[in-house]
Amino acid sequence: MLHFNGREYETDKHEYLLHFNEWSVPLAEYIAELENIEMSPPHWEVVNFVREFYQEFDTSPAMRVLVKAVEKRLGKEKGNSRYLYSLFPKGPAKQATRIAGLPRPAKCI
Amino acid sequence: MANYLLLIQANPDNIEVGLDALEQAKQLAANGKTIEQVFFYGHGVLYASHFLNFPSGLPNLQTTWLEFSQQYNVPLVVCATVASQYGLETLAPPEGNLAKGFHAGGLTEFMSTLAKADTLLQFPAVKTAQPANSGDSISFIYNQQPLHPSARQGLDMLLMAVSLELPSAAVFLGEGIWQLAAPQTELDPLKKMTMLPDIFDFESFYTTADTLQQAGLELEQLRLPVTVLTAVELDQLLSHDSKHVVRF
Repeated sequence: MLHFNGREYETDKHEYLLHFNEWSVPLAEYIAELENIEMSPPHWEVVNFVREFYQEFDTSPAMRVLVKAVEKRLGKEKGNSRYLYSLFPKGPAKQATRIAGLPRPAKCI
Repeated sequence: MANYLLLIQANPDNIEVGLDALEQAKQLAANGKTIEQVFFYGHGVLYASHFLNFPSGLPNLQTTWLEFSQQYNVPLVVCATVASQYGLETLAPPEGNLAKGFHAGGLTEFMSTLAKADTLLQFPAVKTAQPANSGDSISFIYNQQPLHPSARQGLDMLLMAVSLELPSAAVFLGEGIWQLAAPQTELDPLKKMTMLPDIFDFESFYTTADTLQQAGLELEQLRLPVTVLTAVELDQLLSHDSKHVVRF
């Protein structure tokens, strides 16, 4: 459960938002804060990208897929783990999907 | 020296299949062959449950696998994501219910081991000829309807193979062709397959004219670019161009 702005948001046991549609920009900023991340335009670019990805493919991207998808859609200079880790130091797939209000990416993949 | 990889997808209560797998594993090990890994996937993940019991009068196949694993130093790996879908939390008790001796892993481990293994043995056993091992491709055959669990489990494996850049092919036969058709219900657990051509530039999807005809489907109705193979071409792909054939 997340408490933000006098409202409760249901989450899974790893604190990922349960309902994609309850997501908002201020909520994303709040989750980013919990992750010790200050959102900047490059962060937003990735977060918005994973939201679009989720809507298109109906799956939360794990790291390998995220890198490839970013490379394909946002270019080679961004589609690599070094760049993505510089934005999301504790794991780009884990952190970007949490901030984006997606389910946690599958462990096994 | 030949090395092997075992893939167990049968439920532990399927004693015949379970015994067959163990029998073959023991025979290989006794003959000095290397078994790199036993990977538990699909219903097979239940082998790793701490709470698993076997009925009286039947052997405890879980204990037998654990003894085998110790004796020959073969890792028993269970897919963590699929496990969670069968009620298995892959942590040691009390946090989870993963039996001691099993190791929670992922498709990455399975697929990279498969790429190096000479022979894959899949259980339930597939009663067709093994590939001649002359090619380097991993071919996946899908012949279940879209909501069958093996359809999504097989898709995850293909996605892993492709994201590891292993040469792969996906063949849709029989009912399996419906996995590529527009979903017949609102449920579409296979939607992510469209990321194969879109993100990974992967287009090695195959079927046969017979399959299309029996389903009453046209190529244009499929959501991916599919190539129709003749019986001879299909045989060429599976028996000559493939290193491994994995069936779902």
